[in-house]
Amino acid sequence: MIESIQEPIEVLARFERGKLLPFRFRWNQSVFRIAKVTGAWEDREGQHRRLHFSVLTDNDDYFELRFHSGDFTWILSKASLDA
Amino acid sequence: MRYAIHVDMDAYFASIEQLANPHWRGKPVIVGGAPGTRSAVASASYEARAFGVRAGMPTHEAQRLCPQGIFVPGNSSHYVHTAVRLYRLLERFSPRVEPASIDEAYVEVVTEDDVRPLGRRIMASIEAELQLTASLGISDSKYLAKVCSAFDKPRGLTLLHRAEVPEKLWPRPLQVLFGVGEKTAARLHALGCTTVGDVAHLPVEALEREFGIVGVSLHDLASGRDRWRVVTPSESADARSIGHEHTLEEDVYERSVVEALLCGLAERVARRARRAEMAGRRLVLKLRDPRFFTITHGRVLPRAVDTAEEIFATARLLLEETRFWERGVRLVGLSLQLLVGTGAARQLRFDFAAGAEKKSPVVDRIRSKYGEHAIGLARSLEAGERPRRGSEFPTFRPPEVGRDG
Repeated sequence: MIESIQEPIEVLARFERGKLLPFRFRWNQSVFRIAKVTGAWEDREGQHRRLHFSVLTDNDDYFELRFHSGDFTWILSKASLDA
Repeated sequence: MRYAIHVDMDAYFASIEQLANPHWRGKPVIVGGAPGTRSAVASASYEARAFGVRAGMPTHEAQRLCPQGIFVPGNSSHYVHTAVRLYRLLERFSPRVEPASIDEAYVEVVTEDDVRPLGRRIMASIEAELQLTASLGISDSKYLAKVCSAFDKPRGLTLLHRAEVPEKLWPRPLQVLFGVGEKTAARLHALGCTTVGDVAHLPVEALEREFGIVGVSLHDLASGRDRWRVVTPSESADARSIGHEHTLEEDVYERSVVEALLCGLAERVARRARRAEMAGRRLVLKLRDPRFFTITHGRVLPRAVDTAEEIFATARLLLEETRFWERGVRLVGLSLQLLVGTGAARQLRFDFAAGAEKKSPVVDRIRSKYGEHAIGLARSLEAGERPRRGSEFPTFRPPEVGRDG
């Protein structure tokens, strides 16, 4: 089941060759390590860019994260919660 | 020889979703609205197509055919982002690239060599860089390139020269011809045509009597005659249109509500036109009733317009002339056409619309700073809460998703 979450999260990310790459995030008092970024795209909200990432974690869980370039916040937008 | 290469992405939206979420690979993924709503299927993976699911089909029908399907609401920004990457990739092979839609494009190349290796290199680049697959149609006719890209999907590459039309196109059914749907096919059947070849062999006068100028065009297409050129975005200002349409949750019979919806659409069309530095000389209103009867009604304007006020004023007149709200409205759309660039000097106005022209850039700046819905015409509020960007599928949750492993 893919669920819409829309919760603020803390993310560790690195800037690499002009790209932003998340590699770890904390949600629900758990830390998830990102094994693979499976998709990245962007859109706009007002004048600001929003960067979207679909990721797989070490446990093969699927999440979508969103970075807002205006306030530098990260949102967990979707999660695949079933095994 | 000059060739048109038609690049048609395979199950584009569904493939992007499968790429983003590996758990969905190999499974029937259906991109569109939630099954409980009145939306249609935008794209179906090949696994879903095996159950008979097709793009354009109502989602409730798709759910009936494929109850185990994974219904995904879709993510337009992801698809647009990928399409732009596709166009940039294609421009490495030729400067003459025409984006035909979000999942297809034409590439014009000139070569005296075999063109197929170039086609295979394009396919390989798409697979390597976008991790998606495409089918290519190549021809010395743009129209034939589009037709033959569908012959061998997915991951097909088909070369069809005009000289091969009698052998390879004429035996095919009428629906292969561009613009021939069920209704036109029925009228062609009445003329004794069942294949493309039958249309080609019919006297052009008979087709012209039945279909007018469209009949002449049908005859040309069936015969492989096509005076084509690939139109790059910088050349296409006059050919394009800027439009928006909205399918309603419930049928609307109140004129004031339809007008309010038109007002919101007028704002969006105007905003996009100004962003593109375009103004349009024709406005077309599209309406669909609860029985899916659809009309378009348009008007050529005395001057090109790009303000919400002017577009809305014309849209109201068009609506008034149709009195369509009496039948019930399930879809409403507006399209600004005959676009011209607004970079050149504009004719001055001496009536109320001149005020709108001054206002619009200010409104645009407010929207750029605070978001698309920060400001708008009060008239549009009557349609209910202003839809938020990306809210077409706000609460839908896809059904149970299987997991690899």
